Amino acid sequence: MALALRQRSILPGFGLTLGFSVLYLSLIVLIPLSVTFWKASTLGWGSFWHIVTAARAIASYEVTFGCSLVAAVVNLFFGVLTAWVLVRYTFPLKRLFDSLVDLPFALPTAVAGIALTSIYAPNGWLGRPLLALGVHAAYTRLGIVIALTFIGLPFVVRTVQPVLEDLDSELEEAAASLGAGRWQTFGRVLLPTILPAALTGFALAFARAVGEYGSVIFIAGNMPMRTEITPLLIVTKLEQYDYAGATAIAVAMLVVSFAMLLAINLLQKWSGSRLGREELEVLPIG
Amino acid sequence: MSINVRGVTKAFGDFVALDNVDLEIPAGKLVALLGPSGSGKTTLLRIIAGLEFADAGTIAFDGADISQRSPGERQVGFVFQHYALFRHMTVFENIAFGLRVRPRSSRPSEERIRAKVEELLRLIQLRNQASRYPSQLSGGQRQRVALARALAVEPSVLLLDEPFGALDAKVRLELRRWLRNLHDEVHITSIFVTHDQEEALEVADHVAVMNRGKIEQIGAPDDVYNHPATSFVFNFLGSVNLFHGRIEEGTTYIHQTATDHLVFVRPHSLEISRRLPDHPNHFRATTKHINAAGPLVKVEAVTEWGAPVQVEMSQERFRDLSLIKGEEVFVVPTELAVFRSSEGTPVARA
Repeated sequence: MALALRQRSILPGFGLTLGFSVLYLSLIVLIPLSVTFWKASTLGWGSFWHIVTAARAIASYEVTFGCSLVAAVVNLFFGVLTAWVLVRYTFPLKRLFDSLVDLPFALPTAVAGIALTSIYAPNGWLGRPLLALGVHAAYTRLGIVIALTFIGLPFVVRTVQPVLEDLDSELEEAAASLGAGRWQTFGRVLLPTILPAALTGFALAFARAVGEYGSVIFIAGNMPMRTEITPLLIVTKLEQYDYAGATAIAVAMLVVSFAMLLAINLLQKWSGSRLGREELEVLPIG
Repeated sequence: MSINVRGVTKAFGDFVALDNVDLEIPAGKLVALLGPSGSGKTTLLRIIAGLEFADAGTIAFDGADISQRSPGERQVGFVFQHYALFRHMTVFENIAFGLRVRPRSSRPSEERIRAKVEELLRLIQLRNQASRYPSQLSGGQRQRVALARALAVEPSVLLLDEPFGALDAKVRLELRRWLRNLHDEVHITSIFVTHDQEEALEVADHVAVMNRGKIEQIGAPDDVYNHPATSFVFNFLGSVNLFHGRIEEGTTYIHQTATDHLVFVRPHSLEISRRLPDHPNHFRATTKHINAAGPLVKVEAVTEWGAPVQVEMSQERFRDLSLIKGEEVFVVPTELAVFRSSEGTPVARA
């Protein structure tokens, strides 16, 4: 079977661009990742399984993936809402507000972590009134969710915003002339149109949250079995010179992340195909 | 349902889109709003639909003022130039949309919806495309789906905004005949907006010609074409040669210097001859370009005073003349209209 890698095209440079992409991906992504797998394989299956299924490791997966998922869901709602407000309305200082959305990208995560901790700590600005209501924010899973929501905020906003901007106002007018109310128009016409982009943002926010380290370690309290995230567990093992153990957990995390991103990607492809256009690719980062 | 537009005015900032417009549309008629872009025709249509609100004036359906009602309450079907189909819904679901969003009390049963959509799919000749998505259809098919979607709610008025504007020439022609036939079948009061005079004259029962936020003339297509009320209407409906003229003892003479009378002559109302014509109103011209492709031969010439002039003649006449490029000929207008240049009002016809 002949695989036609080279398609006739009027655009030159297929060989060059593909070659460079492969080289670049290999140096930056594929080789480091395979080294992780190779390093973990030095353990042998028995001890690998023992390390990745240790009670402390399992608890850390729960914290990491559970909190990331909650944070991504929160970002899904607030991201769509923020994008909606930024696209649909004009208000004073809108440009400033718009640029503020990107701040979590630019801010060193440690700064974010320290800032959030000082605010949500039991003696902090928000931590004190919350504590009065019986809510412990800092040093609990709630704190982790807050940090992960903060760093994942831009993703949904930035993926949904251009789609909302492109949305033809005629669609809403058509729905209105056919007798649909505001909520029916939103639920039946607008939401399905922005869903693929929102899912892309969701996947990106989730992926970013899973890999987040800097901002979480300050607010989490890092109690093993309760508020210890997997990236921290890996760092702890590295500090104890347990390189094989650290890579074993890293591999487990990679596999789970990849499976989840693949599932979101398929879901997004399915919802995107109904719109009859190319779906946006989900790239795991973080 | 009859439509009554009274004193409607609408401005967007400094731009006056509609200037005190009155329009009467009898029940069951298909009316074209014809005009160049910026003439206010789409704004008027959107105000009738309730997608835009007038600054002043009222819209009445069958005598009842509906100016303050929302688009959904007006029971109008609106068809957009770029279809505005819901991309994530199949053809079937697009057509069913208006029925599905009704409040539970007045929503038809699933079988009734199915039957209604099937009936409309038959009407638009897309029965086997029901499960396709809009992106899989051609432009003409999409516009038919948009029309079926508008008809599904059984509107009392159908409004179409440049419905064939985004289609290519052949599909356009096909679809406008189809719309005419459809209207003859369902007899729903319809208004469509167009900037294509041929389309308006061919499809509509009545044509309302609009210019700068006002209606210049309304009437049957042949009436508007043959008896244009203003110089704008004459100019807009088909190509025209514009001359200056003077009137002497009831006879209009085409004149080369500026006068206060404008003479309009359609290209097919100019006759070319080699012999000096008997009629005193004639001028000399030199042929510059001849296009003999098509049912009419189009001749571009330059008058003795250097102005371009368009002449159309039958293939037969062209063969008899055996006209060639660069020849000097006599040109006689057989039919012309004179308007006072300052007001655009008609003075005389000959």
